[in-house]
Amino acid sequence: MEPAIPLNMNTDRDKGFINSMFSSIQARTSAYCFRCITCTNGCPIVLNYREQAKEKLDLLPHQLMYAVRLGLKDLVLESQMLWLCTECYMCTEYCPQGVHVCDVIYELKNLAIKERKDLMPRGLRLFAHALLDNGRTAEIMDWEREDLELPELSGAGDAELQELLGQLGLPQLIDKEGS
Amino acid sequence: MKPYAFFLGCSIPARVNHYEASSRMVLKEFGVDLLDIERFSCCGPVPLRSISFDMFLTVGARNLALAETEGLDIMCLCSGCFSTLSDVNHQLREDSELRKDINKKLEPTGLAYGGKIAVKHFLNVLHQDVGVNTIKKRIVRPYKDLRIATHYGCHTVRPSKVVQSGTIPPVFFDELVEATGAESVDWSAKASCCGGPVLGADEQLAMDLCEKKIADAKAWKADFLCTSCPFCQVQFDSIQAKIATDRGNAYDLPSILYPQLLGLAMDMDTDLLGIDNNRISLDSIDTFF
Repeated sequence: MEPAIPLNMNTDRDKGFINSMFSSIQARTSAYCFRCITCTNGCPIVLNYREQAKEKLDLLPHQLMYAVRLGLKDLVLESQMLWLCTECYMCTEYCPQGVHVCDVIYELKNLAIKERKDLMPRGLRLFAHALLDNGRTAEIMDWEREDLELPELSGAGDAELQELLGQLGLPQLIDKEGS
Repeated sequence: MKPYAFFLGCSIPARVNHYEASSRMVLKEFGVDLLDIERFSCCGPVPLRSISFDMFLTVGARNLALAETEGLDIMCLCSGCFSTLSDVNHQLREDSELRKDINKKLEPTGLAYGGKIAVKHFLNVLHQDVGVNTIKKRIVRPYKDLRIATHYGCHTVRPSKVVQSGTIPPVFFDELVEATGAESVDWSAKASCCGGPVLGADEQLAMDLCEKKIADAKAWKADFLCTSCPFCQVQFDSIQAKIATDRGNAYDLPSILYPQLLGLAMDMDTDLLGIDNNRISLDSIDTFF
């Protein structure tokens, strides 16, 4: 079996990546990881796949944290673990070193979308399109609201959100046509 | 008591309107007033955070600022919205430099967030503001021999430093369920992921996670699952029905939303509680009074 992390790392390491990617205080905590594997043991996705976890996810959560420290940018960004994380925060809650594992994963996804558009999953693209086109993630079931005597929703906030996301550059970030 | 700015989000009006209907009814009974803010939008949920941390903060800050303008704390029904807004609130309250940056991005909207409000989940409002003893006094039809698999899920309790919902392992939801006369069983999966967040990324994975939990609740001889989040409810209701059709595994374990469970024990109108809006029938609940 190929080792997850190549033994000769000189050519693959990106030292700038280690220092520059983290925009939140939480994500910077990856430096405290001492590879105890608590995050991986608590991960429901790893548990679900069991012996196939490595094949399905590429890097397991503790391997992700360590590969970040080593600056193995491509290995990290191409890992399916990023996109199949349920953001359940089990890893973060039980990390004895206070590493915000889930927040590190978020930061890595941000970086992947900025630099490697090909890695962005279809579901996430559809989500962004829904927000830009409708100002909400799913259509309101008006008839059901009427039956239950619920107040009508005006859509004022939806329109404002669409405008704000336009100003913030979401269309350009996801390469939306016409942006 | 001051009203709460009522944060609805996208998922409830699209899929689980009966959660809103039943929640409004029970809160009214306990004198908790809600203010609907027309300009509230989508919370800026986890997929937005996956795309851009800055956009996640800015959209969240816009919603927080709208409530702050009214001088009110926010109450969410959806655990996803609760998690998003709690997280943004935590970051912006802890880091005034970050708040300044985000407020600059908000300038075109005419809003700014000063970091002065709190974000609460519906269950926290019932547990902390109303209180279990007050709820017990209003139960007119207590349940008998009803075993409930209470489902916290993830975002009402984690990350605990951010959401500050109390002890780990949590007890508040079990106490609310037991206030109705039901028994909250000790099943092992009560605070783990329902699979909802990966439904868009990998449906089979979402079904795997959901099925394991339902099987676990069944092994603990639960009569019903009980939820307080639209994503968990969709998983345990619609996706459970899909698991029965697609995989031939019928567990027949209905999922009731907490305000429906409470509302029935308070003898409220079943139509307005949306009892018939569940995909997997709740009719068997009548045998437990």
